[in-house]
Amino acid sequence: MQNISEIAPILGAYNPNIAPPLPPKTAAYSRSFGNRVNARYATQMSSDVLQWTSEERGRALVLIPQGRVDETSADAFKDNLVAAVGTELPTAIIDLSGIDYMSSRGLRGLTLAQRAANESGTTIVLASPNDTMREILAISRYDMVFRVADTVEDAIGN
Amino acid sequence: MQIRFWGTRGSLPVAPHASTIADKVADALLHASGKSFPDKQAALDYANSELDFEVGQGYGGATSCVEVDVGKGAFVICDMGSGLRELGLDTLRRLSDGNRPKEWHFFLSHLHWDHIMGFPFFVPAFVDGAKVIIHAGHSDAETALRRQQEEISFPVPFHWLKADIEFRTLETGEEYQIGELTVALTKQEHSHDSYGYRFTDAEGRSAIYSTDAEYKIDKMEAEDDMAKFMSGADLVIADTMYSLADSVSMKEDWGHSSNIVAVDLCHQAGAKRLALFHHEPTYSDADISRMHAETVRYEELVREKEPLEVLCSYDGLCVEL
Repeated sequence: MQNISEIAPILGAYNPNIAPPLPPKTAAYSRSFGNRVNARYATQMSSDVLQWTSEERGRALVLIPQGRVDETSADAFKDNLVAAVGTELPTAIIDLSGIDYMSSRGLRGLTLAQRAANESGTTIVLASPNDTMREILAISRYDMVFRVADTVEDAIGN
Repeated sequence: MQIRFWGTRGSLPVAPHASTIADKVADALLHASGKSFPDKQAALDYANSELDFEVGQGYGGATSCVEVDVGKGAFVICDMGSGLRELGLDTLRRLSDGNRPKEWHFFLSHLHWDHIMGFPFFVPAFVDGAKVIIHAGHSDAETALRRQQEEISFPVPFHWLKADIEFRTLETGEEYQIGELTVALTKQEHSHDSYGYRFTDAEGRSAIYSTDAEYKIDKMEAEDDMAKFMSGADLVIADTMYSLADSVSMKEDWGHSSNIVAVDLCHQAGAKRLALFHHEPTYSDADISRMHAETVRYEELVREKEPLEVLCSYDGLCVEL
């Protein structure tokens, strides 16, 4: 059989690799944003909705959302991301280790965030996806339009 | 209600090269590994049940054409892609028992070439006494069909056709009755617009035909309306031409959707079955099978409620609802 890459290079190959063990969590908060300060979402969502923290590590902004990104929470996820990536730092790392899974609206929120980040020359890097997220990034081919690092440390380049 | 897929390929008809067939035969022989068969039926059974679909069969290459059949009354057809040629001949065969009227109702998603190119080869349009009614959300459907049979494009002019051909422009928000079927439509994002249709039979079973629909990244909230249109459908036939990443990057604004968005819409709508449709013409059968397997997996990963059955449409598939 012909190799898929010969026929449809844009499609890419399915990535069957399983995710490596999650790295130990680092204490991470210099400021909070998103749901915690946005009354509309804070009042709409149940207790297991997305929670956000962030920190600056060297020349990178690390965003740490936690929860599920589905039709209910995707708007908040997108709004928070777009607002957060307006940084002067060259890299914004989204630590996905606390994300259970993400549907198409959340994935497209990543694209909108990258477009917002382009305004300030910031590149978004995805880090520490769990096994489910790694599969979703492969199936959607988002692993071909975003750099996906195994750990936040890898994304920072340490 | 039966849904028959006569053409499932997007944008351009495709056909396998000689080498593609030889490749399938070689893979089948390797898989059989010396196995012998007493007769052709046994070999066919093996091909259909033991071999992977992309080896023993294939998805076909005709462009969009889907029949919605309640087994009686007029024939109802979505789009006039190149799959229409075979459908036209098949309906003439089915007319021979004398139990159905010589009447064909078309519902057009839009007027782009791959969705109307089969009409000049639709044999019933050449038959005196046949009635052909072409429904569309577009008011310029007649212009599109007459234009493709002008002398510069085709030898037989539209006015030469013997059938009684009528055009009806439909409105969103209305319901139309065609025999036992109730039909509604909704506007979709596509160059020059496209329309999705909902067909509901007398028992309340419903099928959605939604192709050439793009879900814009800056209007994601509009998907709630589409999910409502698809609500509780027994089958959703959806445009799944691109990967999600392609649909929001290089191929943004090309008017098509992804398998990922289709699954999410069906989940939100509480639909029972999804048929992947409008396959990318550059995809091999193996590529489409891989896309199907990945879509099944994605559905498992993000499922919150009832399972959604994910089918992959192919030329010749019949789904009973």
